Amino acid sequence: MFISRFWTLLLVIAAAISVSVLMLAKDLVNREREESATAGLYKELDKLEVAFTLHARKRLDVLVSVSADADVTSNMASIAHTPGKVDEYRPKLLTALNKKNDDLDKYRADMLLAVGTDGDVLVKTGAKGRENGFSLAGVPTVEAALRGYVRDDVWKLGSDVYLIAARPVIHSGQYVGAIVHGLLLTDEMASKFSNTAQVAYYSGGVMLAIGTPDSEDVARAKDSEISSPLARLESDKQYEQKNRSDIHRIKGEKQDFLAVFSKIRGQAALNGVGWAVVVPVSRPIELTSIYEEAGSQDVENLPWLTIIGGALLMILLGWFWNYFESERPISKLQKAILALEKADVKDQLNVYKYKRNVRKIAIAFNKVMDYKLKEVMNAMGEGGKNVSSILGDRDTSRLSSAAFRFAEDMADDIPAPPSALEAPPPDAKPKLPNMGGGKVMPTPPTGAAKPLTGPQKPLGAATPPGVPSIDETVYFKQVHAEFVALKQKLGEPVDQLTYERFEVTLKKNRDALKARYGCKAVKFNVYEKDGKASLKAIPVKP
Amino acid sequence: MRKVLMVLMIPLVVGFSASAAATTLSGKISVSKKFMEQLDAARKETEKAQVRGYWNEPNGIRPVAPVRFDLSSDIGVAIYMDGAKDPKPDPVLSLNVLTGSLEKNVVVIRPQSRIKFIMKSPFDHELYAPGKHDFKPQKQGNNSFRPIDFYSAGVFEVKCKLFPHFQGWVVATPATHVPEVNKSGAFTVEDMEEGKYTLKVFFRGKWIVEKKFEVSGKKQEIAVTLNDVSGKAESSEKDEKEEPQKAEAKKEGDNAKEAKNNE
Repeated sequence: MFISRFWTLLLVIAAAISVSVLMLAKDLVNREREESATAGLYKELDKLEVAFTLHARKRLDVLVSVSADADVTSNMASIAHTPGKVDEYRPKLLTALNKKNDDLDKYRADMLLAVGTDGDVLVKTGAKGRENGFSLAGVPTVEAALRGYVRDDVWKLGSDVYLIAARPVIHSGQYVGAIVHGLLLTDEMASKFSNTAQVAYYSGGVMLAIGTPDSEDVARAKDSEISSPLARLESDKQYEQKNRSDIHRIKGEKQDFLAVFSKIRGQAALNGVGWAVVVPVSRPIELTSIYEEAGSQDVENLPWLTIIGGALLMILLGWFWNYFESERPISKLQKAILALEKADVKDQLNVYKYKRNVRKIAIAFNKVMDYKLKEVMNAMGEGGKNVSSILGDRDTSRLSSAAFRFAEDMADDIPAPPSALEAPPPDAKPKLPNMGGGKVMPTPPTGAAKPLTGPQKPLGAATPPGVPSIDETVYFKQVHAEFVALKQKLGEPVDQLTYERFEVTLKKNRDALKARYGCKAVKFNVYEKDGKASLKAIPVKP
Repeated sequence: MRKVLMVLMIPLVVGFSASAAATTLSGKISVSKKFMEQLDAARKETEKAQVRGYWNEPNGIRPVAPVRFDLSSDIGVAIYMDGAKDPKPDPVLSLNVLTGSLEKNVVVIRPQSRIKFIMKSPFDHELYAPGKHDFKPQKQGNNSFRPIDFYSAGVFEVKCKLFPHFQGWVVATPATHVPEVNKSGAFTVEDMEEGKYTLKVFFRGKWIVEKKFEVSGKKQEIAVTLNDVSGKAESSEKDEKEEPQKAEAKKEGDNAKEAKNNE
């Protein structure tokens, strides 16, 4: 199982690395997108600042045509010089202003005012004009224009916000008033400033105008989405100190947006009027949506052959290691167990064939079988039966012996010694195997010692362990001769069956049985089993 | 007949004697060149700090005119008689509120007087005076009025929440006389009792001139020149009176410095 476990570890490490790389790649992509959108946003901000500056300049420039108009200047000069005749000149001035305002085309003012030298509004015109007679004295831009300055501004008048341009009116080298030009901030106006981003104007927490980029490709935020960060501006220190907020991320219904909120350049900034630029930003990639985000082209370009091949290779290797270390030993164990069905009742699994857990299973199996066998034996003893009565013609000596064969593939097939509980009774009389139905004594090989005829003397009784006695050697040679003879008789090859190997096996079994049963001698019987020569070790107690 | 003559003579005698005791004060407030230069410089500084648009440049045709300074609106004059009792409150004063300023930038009233702020702008305003608990921002539409009582003496800056540049001053002070100054700086106070007086000029949140004078006779004239927007002129005026030699020496020193600079 070691390799399987190691393989599993490798796979887990590989999977963890893959997931880590995937997450890093996801974060990288998200950061890249964010940075790209941020750079785009700042670019838009710069573009818009330029656009606003140029727009203000343009308004001031087109206003020259009004402030320098002969009718306008002459009428305003008349009013300045003869204040008492203001009502006489006012209609003429209004006509002149209306005409000039119409000529302004796309810069046509929503509010065009002619202001007298004292700051009083002499005439108003435009769709959003107010009534005459009110004073704009004290308004900084008006005061500046009356002194000779050309100035733009932004005013919040009521709920409306106007982009203001003001110019002095000069007649005969004298300042005779000023013209104030106002464009109302509307959605249409806000749309003029950028084709690639949304521009919005707000006052306090209320959106005044939201532009719509001409380009269809630009995602547009909803009004509620754009206005959502407005409430947070009050607590934004950067907004207060630098007149521009930090970047706000707006979570839209379908799309996220980045927005920056700036105070407007003009008096209206003191009324909380500002403008916002909003650009779309892709939503962060999730691991679950990475294939959708990648697109079909990227998916098609993946090295599918390598990926599938690698995956299959990993699966096959995993299966192989699993078969090699788990299924194969289990299968082997299963076969061995099934083989026991046809084997001697005392035969057990050779646990040394198995490793680790399978060996533990085999040992456990052997123990259980031994236990069950003992129960059976006890039951028989209580019922007055003997083994022969239960097993019939079977050789009862096997109950206390270990059977083994000599074959090329089972040279070291050493059965585990039976448990101590199954030790045969001291008077158990070993019975020679039944060979071909009748009692067959093994034929000693040529030059071998004389075959034994009766119960053979158990060997090893007075021999120190590890040092074979002369009798034992003779006995082993005798058994070897019998075994070789039987094998020859049964047509089995005997070329590999040397006495030295045979002796080693016999000693190994002898020692095992001695250790298990505490017997002093072990007897070996040669017999035929399933057409093959077999050898059985039988403990002999004094 | 004699009784009738006596009855008719009494008011004439009383009236004659009263008119003989009253004095008419004619005053003239003028502005020095230095004052206007300081005002212009201060206005420029203010404009720098002002929030405005992208462009602010001279028209290129004609030089920019100096700052407008309206003596009838931008200053307030109060005259105090030494030892006089606290004056009675003024009758309710109506004051128009224009879009960018008050009708008069400085209004001097006596304590416990009331001003009725009348809106003369098409745009809503929310006037208030910082620090005055009963003059909080409150929306006021065109032609509506808002009465405000000024119980105690003090200087109150009037501002508007909707027009942040809006500025005006209400000065509640126990002045014996509050003359109306016209655009040329002239004012007249009639029926002044003889005695010692102090004239004060208020400008931009503080008293910048304080001049003592004595009234006697039928007619009295007084001239005040505004020399310094910060109010230092008043102290220098005192210095000139009290220590003319020092003032002269200082003037000479200034001239020397100027000469050096010119060199």
